[in-house]
Amino acid sequence: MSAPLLEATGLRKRFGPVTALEGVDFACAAGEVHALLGENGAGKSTLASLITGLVRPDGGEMRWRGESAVWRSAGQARGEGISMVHQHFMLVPTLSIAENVALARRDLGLLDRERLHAEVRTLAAERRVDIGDPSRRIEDLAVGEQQRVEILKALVVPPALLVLDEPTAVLVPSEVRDLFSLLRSLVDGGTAIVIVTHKLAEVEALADRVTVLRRGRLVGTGPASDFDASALARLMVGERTRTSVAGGDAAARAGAVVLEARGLSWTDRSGGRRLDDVSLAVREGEILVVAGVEGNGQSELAAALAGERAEGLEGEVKLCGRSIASPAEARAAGLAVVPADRRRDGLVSELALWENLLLARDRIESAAPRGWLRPSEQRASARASLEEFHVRPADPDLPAAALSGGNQQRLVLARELSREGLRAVVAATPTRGLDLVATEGVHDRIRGLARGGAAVLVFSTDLDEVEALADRILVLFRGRIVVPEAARPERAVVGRLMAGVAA
Amino acid sequence: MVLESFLAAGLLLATPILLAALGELLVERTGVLNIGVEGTMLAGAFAAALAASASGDAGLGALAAVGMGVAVAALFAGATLFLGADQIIAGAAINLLALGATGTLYRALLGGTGAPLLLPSLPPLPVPLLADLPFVGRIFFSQNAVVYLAIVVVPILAALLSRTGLGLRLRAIGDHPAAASSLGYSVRAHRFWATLVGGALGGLGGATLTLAATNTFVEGITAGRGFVALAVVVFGRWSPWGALAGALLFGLASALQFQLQAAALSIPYQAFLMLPYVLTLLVLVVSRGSASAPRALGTRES
Repeated sequence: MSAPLLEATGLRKRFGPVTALEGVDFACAAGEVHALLGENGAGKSTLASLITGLVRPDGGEMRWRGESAVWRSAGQARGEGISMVHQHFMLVPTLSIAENVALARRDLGLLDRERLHAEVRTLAAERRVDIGDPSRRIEDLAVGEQQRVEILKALVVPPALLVLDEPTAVLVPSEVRDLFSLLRSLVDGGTAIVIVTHKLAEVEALADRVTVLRRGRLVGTGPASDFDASALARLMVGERTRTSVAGGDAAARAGAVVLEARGLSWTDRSGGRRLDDVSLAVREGEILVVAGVEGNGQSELAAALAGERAEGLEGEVKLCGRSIASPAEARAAGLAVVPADRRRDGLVSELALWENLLLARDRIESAAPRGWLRPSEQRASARASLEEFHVRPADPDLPAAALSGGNQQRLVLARELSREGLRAVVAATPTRGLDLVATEGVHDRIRGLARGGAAVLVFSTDLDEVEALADRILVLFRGRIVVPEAARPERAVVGRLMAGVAA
Repeated sequence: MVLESFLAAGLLLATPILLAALGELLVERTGVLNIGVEGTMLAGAFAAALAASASGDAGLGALAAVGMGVAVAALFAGATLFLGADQIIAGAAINLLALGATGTLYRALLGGTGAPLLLPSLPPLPVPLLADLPFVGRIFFSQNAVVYLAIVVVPILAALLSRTGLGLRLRAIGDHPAAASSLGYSVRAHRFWATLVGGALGGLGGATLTLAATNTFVEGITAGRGFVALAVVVFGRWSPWGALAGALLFGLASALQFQLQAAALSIPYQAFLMLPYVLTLLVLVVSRGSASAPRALGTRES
């Protein structure tokens, strides 16, 4: 490795009772991609936050361009040329794409909307980031589109070091390829890149160097060529090994239709047709995977299936033959929903883990028969759920905000998937941001639910997941359902349909 | 003639509310909820009375009110932004402190003689030519300097918020402070300065009560106008133009109740005094909707 741009030794960071990092060394050099690998809660995001000045270390030393550096703020690190693409995007939801870019450009003085939009379009073209119409508000964008805005923000001033936290979690294969070619061109231009991930394929495709963390400690580092995938997997998860089970064995057990959508159509405020005559049916014991690139109507369809009646929504959703008009009805009829954006829709960050586990309405009622909660019982049962779903740390009294992203997702799953009387499950990208072991765990549970007779619908952007889970595959493209010829078409066929290319 | 003077009085009576509401609007857009507007206005009104009666100059009174508004806002900002106090508690404390302190100091410094205090007033400044226009000249162009200032602040604040980079930062901080912070903007510094400017406007609003609307000071002279200003911000959906509409509504209702009192109907005058407040309440109920509230309003720095 050439002279390091950034060099850290003995980094230590604690959040309250949780040790996030202990004695971690890390270095990266210009023109290199350094993959930061580890399971959920391994400390990857914490290390990224230390590098980018979002949090300050409790111990250890950092050197930037050979000189001792302690970032007082993210702004200072940014001024030194360190940009970050956050996993949970740092975008102001009420502002437009262009306004968020203007914030990153540090615009002051008068803002001419027309000129700003033109400049942002030009910038996006130069940086090869496709953002579409820059006047759209962030909160109207799908997650994948938001990420591209987040990336564009980080590239406003070409950074010396770009840190990306789980950047591919919401992208489909073609988008991942685009992102990687963008990253490679940055690296060729001399940028150092740190990519936080737990996907081994990405390490092989992109990384020059690898650092593996496990439970806050450094367990391996070196040139990427020194590690093969199985070695990395062993380092990440310790002694456990990956098992792979293919889906598709349920065709025989599929029974009566449980969850059904008929003719769902919805047009957004700006006239965009987000859902276009969507009809589908999920049978008892079946896993239907709706594959598609983020932003093709997944969130709208998921909301409609969950019983939300957006203004102007046409069509009908039926659960066990009964028409569903509200989320409460859907839940009462036995529908569990795993939302795509767990922070916005799935959790109350300030509440303790055990309280979050209680939030689903039927659980509160069964836990508090006369209106009184019994916290000690609830803590005990919460602890059992947390252990079962491998939420770390499994301390029922921590606030949900204290968990890492992957652990928050496990918490939502623990609540939604362990309900009684479950008839149907709608899960939107249920393994987004989860590591190997956790993904396996979620997949096993989803398969178990289907074996137990539940009708399961999974939205996925990840071909591996599509293959691992699906009994049947549909593709959602620009709000329309595309039905492949085969129930389980080949990977390449699904990929082409997701990209809108006729198979 | 009656209509002209009614509308002119309405504009004058709207001015304290408008100034305080514009100040609070700026503060709230950065995510800070300062419910101490009432106290800030009251402290401003008192400082204006004190300085104007000591110097005999209403202009100095208005300046003193601005200084007092800034000082009170600094107290609030220090407690909430630097010492981590809750915004609601700190705002309520400011209201109680201002009520007690101005009452005591008024009795000690101004109210000793027993005679009603008569303060110099801000003189009307007719705008040349425009003031001679029929009807509108009397209503809009024969007012005092602070009324003009309040009206001019409306488009300036609207443009600042929606058309400048600084306004963009302020809005970003009010909606998603962590995002602004990740780009290196100091959430605390922006909130601090916004709070001080808000305090200056609130203090000046108080001064117009003593130096233009009544020419005297009595304990609790603001009579809830600070809270009306808070309501006006919500009614106006955090837009300066909306705040202008809300403040005018209150001002006209106030002017109307004076007219109705003067008409000496056999209804108790207290019923008329209630009118502007009842109207404010009704309008708030009818114009519900908090869709445009800053997302991080009232939260602590993050």
